Amino acid sequence: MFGDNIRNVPEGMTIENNPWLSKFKEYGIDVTYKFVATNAEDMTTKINLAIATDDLPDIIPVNSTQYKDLLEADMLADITDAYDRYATDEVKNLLNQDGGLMAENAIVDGRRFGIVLPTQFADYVPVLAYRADWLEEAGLQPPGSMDDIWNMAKTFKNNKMGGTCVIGIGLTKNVLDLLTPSVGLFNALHAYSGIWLEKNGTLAYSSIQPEYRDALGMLANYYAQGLIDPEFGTKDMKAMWEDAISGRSGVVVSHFCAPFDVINGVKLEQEWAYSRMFPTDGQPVKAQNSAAFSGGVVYSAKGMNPEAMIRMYNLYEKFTREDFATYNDNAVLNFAYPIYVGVVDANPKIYREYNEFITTGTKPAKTTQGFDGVLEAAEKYRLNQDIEGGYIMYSIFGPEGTEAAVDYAILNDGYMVSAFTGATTDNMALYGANLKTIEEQMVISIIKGDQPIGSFDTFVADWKANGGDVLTQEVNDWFSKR
Amino acid sequence: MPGRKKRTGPSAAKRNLPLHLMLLPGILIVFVYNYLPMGGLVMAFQQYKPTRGLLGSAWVGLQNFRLLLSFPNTKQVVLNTLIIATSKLVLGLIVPVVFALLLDEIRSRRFVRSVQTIVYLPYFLSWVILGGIFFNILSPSTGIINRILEMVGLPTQYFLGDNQHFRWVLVLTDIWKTFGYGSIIYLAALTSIDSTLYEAAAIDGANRFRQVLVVTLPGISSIVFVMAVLSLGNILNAGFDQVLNMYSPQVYQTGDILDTFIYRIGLQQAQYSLSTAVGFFRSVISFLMISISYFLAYRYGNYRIF
Amino acid sequence: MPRASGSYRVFNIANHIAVGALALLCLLPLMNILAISFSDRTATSAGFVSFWPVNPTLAAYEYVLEDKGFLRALSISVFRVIMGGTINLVLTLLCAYPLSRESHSFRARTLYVWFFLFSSLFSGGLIPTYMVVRSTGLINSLFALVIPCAVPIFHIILLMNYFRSVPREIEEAARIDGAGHWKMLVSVLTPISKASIATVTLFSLVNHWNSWFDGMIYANDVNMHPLATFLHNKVVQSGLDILINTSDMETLNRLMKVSDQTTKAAQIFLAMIPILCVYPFLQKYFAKGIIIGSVKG
Repeated sequence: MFGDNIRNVPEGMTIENNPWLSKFKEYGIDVTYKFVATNAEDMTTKINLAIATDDLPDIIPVNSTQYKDLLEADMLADITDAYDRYATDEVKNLLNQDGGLMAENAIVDGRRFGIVLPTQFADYVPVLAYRADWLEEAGLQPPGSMDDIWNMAKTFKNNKMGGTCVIGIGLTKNVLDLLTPSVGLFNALHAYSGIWLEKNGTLAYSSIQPEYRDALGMLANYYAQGLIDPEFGTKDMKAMWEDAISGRSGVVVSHFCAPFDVINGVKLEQEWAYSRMFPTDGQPVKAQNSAAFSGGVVYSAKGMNPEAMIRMYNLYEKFTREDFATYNDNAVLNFAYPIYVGVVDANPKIYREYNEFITTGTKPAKTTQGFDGVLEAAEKYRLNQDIEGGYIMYSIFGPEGTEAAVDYAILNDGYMVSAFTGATTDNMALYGANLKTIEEQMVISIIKGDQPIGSFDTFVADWKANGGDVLTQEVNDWFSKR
Repeated sequence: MPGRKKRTGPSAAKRNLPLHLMLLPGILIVFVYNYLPMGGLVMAFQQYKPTRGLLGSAWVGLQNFRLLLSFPNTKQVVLNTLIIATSKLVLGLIVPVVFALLLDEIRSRRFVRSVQTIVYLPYFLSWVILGGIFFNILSPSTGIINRILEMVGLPTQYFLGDNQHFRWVLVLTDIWKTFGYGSIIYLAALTSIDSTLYEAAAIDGANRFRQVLVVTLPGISSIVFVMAVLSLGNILNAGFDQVLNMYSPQVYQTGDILDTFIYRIGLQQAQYSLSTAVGFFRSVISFLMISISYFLAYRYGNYRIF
Repeated sequence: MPRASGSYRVFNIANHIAVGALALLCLLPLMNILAISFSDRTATSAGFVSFWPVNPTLAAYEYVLEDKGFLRALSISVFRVIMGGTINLVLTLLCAYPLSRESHSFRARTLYVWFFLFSSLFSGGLIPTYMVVRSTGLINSLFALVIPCAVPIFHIILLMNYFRSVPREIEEAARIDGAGHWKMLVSVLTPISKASIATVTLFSLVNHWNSWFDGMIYANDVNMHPLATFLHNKVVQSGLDILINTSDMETLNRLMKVSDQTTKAAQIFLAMIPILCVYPFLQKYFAKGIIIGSVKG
């Protein structure tokens, strides 16, 4: 259980005394917590310590490394029979929301050794946020192509809009991380960083492909024109948003959560608009995703009742559905951890439901969990312009909100999911950091023009020599066995 | 072991019994909480997995060390660590001493006390916070330092993003953070100097500057010496928290240190063996440095630190 | 004091200015944090706050002080500092005294010194240490925060060196009066070493106040985290971590507020106050000249 999520719980509830534990007990399952971790990183450490001291709880939330090590060491219970016999169809559906992509990681030679949670990535597409007031002032049309976006950035900067705009588009120092502007731009240019692509029946690493080289060449060109923040190499997300809110930049490549930051600008009477990213050509923009093993829940080989864990999943599913009000409250929901399965792609569903509500004026018959909260907040802004109360929700779920870009991606084949969906291998863990370092340095120095684009070829050779070839082999072995 | 052998006789053993008793609780605690876990150092020579434990993990000999050396950046990283750590050691010794001496010259008690309290503040701010503050102060476009440089007609500098400056930024900001706290120990030592010594020196005609040379400095030299030798234990410790919060891939070339390097390797999967191997290497070097300086000081300065 | 010469007077003025400027340099970042903690969120997110609050508000402080977790963590820290500081002090005195004896009269001392020194340089790492702490029954106990770090080697070496620098006549005189080892430590050396003891005590208190990692590792319950751990968890949490861990809106909204800059600033400032109060209190032992004077008097 994560400590940070249980601080603001309803009065009177504690880790020992809450609706979930009572419900489990009512059905004959007496649950006590072995430990409570602060966050995911602390949880990993605590589980490792519990493994090392041979003091595992029965039900264990694991990451992919832990799962693999525990499996190899025969420390996991075979839950095949319990799962087949007890798991309700609803639970099975819930756990296979991603089409069983992740669940197959839990099965070895036809036997099931745990629950691997479904992956979700629909929300993670690049979204453009820009100053609508400046756009109008400059006499431009909302962007409809990649060139429009750069032209907008250029106009804002050259005209020193607001008397303050000096930056075209900002990037952040961690150029390869998920949801950063640089990755958003790579994807818009049909280049992908750090995922595995299926090419001619084998898996190939995306960062050594010619598309990546081309994309870097283009960004270097924009940088040379002064359209990319020259200080991006030391900025984090916070610093990048600080530039936007203080008026130093008016175009931000972000993601569906952009309104959480933009609201501060809106309070300073700026006007912002959101749009999807546009490609350079007619091909749809595909948002990359590693679809990695994000987490699993396993049962200790020393435990006596694996069926209890499955029955807890049944109860979880049943009561979050039937007694929505009591059990689906966010604070209460956290007490069920690690028995917790999020609704995959809840936000895009809520987006559609809310927009249906706006056009028809009635609430859809069936809504996704979380819809009511969104509706209440978003309407405050739509009807009463209450910024504090509803700007964020309206700007995410409203007709021109950030989720519109997500919806577009879902409808238009807008995802590039890594073809490798297995658990992290030892070599990946070992070589990964170093290879990422080499790549980061290459990307930054090419964009900034410190190195010519030709140095990309040196990088490719370095990448292969420093473990890249080993990983390619490993990943392809996995792929062929599949 | 140094120290002359002398016949002490049975009465000495009896006389010394209280001394052994005094040490007993400390020895016990150190044995249990420091020495017992040292068994874990074998991880440096294993491919340790929590599931297999210390006894069950595979032995790999020196493979972890070889692996570390095989990374293309290792040499640069070790060099960075040494340069940054050594600069911090040297300045971290000089600045607090000089500051303590300067403060000692000020007569106004109230002024001295306020200054002491203020310079000790930065020690309590974590690098997560200071990283953000220095980012703002040092920014080429908006930072105050570059505005000042512009005003006096100097070119602006990209302090945090330029490999030429980055190490200096690390060293100077670290000194800024710790010098006040570090000077406490010397301020305390200064209080123990016998004031009659100053009077004697004054009668001999020494001016204030000369008094500092002949009375103050010798008075605190032993503590400075101790601090210098102990700080050698940090010869490979360049300051993880600080670097992690101030560096970026752009300055890995000059700013990536052993700890951040290992940290990045461990991000995907806890690398217990690799980090133990690095820790072990660091401990051996520290131990050698301290031992050598101890014996040199004893041999040539006839001075015993420990 | 001798009569100040002209050049000394010039030095004196320059010295005041230099020392004052240094102090100011140390004060500015704290002023910045203070200003942010009293500012409006919007102004802060645009980077408009420097040394003076913009649109002053107490919202951040109200938010922090409402959080029961903050006050609970604070009380655990106070306990830790008092308990841990006392244990550290007692053990430092007990170890420093024997080690400060001459090695020809206390031959084992050299062995003991290296025993301690070695232990401070080599460490078995997280897992083995945890295993020992666990097998001594300290997991989930506040004693895990004060027992494993009960013997501060560095402080012992400092105090030992100080004891050795005490003029030999003082000890001789006491011995002639019939003082044994215990009496020598308690009634002779301790009173005249106030400044040094105050220094190492301050170091202990500060170490205990600032340590966060042990608080996180040895507690199985977040309600047992000391303030440093509590703050660490708040301060290092970035918006992106939150986003990747959850994309559920209500949780996001709440967590974003918690990790907001103004809240962080208020927490940092509140957390500094208690430990800052300790220093002026210990400062009185630093008054120059009292030590030797009192012995000779």
